[in-house]
Amino acid sequence: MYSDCSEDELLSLYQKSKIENNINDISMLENEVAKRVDLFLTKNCYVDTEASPYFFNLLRVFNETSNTDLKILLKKAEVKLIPILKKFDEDYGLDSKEEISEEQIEQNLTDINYFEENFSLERPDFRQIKKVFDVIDFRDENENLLDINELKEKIEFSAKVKTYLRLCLNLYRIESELYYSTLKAEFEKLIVSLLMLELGSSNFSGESMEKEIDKFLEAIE
Amino acid sequence: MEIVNKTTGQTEQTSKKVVVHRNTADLLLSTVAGAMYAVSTRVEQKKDKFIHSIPFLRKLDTKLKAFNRKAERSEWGGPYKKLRDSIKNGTRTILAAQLFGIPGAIAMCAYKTGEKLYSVLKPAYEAKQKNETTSILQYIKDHKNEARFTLTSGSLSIANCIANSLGAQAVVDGIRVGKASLLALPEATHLAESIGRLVIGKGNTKEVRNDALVLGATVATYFAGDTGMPMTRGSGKPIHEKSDFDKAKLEAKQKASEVGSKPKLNDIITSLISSGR
Repeated sequence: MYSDCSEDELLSLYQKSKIENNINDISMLENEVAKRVDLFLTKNCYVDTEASPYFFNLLRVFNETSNTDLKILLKKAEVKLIPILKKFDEDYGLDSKEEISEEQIEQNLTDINYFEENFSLERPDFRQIKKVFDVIDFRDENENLLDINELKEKIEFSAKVKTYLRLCLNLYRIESELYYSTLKAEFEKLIVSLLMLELGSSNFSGESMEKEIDKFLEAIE
Repeated sequence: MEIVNKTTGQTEQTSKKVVVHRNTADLLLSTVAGAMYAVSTRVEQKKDKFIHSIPFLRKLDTKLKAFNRKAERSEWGGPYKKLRDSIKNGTRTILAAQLFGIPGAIAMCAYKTGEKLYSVLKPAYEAKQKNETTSILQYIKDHKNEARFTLTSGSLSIANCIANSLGAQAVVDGIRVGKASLLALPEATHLAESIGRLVIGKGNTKEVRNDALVLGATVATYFAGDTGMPMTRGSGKPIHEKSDFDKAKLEAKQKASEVGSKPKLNDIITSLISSGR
């Protein structure tokens, strides 16, 4: 019955069933979660680093169960999940054991906002990125040429969001150099991701794929 | 490269340009959304331990909602709305396709490609940290051969993700063995092409599945043939359980022995496809 539900849905249904004290639904939901956790434990299914916080939520919420077998299963899964969560925390700078003050967070958000507003792709340190955009033909699914500024806006928006996530909980004052070098790295990752995604999802043969890669490499010369 | 403009019907030359489609950019956007949701979820989990700032949590939530509003705008493309919820599914590697069908599989594919990319860019990051290079692009420029390999294998990892979600275990096993040269097989390219058609909405799952099975059979023949190497899944330890390919091979062998002939690769592929493995 619940096998088609996403984990988010399972969580909200579980909370609803708890409030309504619907024993039958609670039991069926717990069985579904036990099945998925068992998959995770037996390696038939693994949880990616970036998905680990969602999975942790699932373990935490269902840990309220009175079913002892499920509790043991959830504990085992938590032990297996911890290294993956740690990697996630490292990736996003959430691994500090030090408490961050409210004032520091406020200062970070003010600084990030200032840097975001004052950013331009014309900055000398973003020269290579600008050159990559210059060699891109941005098209819709009917191969009609689109305004490259739309793509620039999307990538810039995404890079700024990722930079925000990485720096918002910085323990120390964010200097301009740190902000722009982080933003640049995020821009670069997104651009290379975009290229790989395009190559992997378009009708390229092996040879033409290499040619496309060479065009990209020429652009950053 | 020649591109036919479907509105005007004219052929255009784009020899010096790298073509990027809007759909691809929108798929990429879904990976950023995934990161944003994940960080927000994790910060919420940590709020009692290290982060006590309730105003910050509210601001993060506002930022998330603003991102959502912007990404949902029609000119930012349709995929985001479809993918947004499926990327929040933690155990999506196997379940995404089953739970969400094609949008789930594609979301996972986009997401996993991002992950694969970040791991293959590790040498560039390390070089940057040691001040051996000024940026990731500079590293790529200075290590062109490595970059060419990285970009090609990263692109083909989409095939791995989709094959995984569709249950074509033989393909996944083949790729896990780490024989990157196998990814250059025409069968691998063919699979990548059919996945491409699926992603841009011009293909279907059956086509991808069949291509995945053909590639799987080819890869499995290389590693698990009568005189070939055992598949190791990259760990150096032979696999003990029978793969889909082995099972199909056994069935084909039994059928062939009934008529007194040897099993052919086509028979094995037919058996794989007809059994729906």
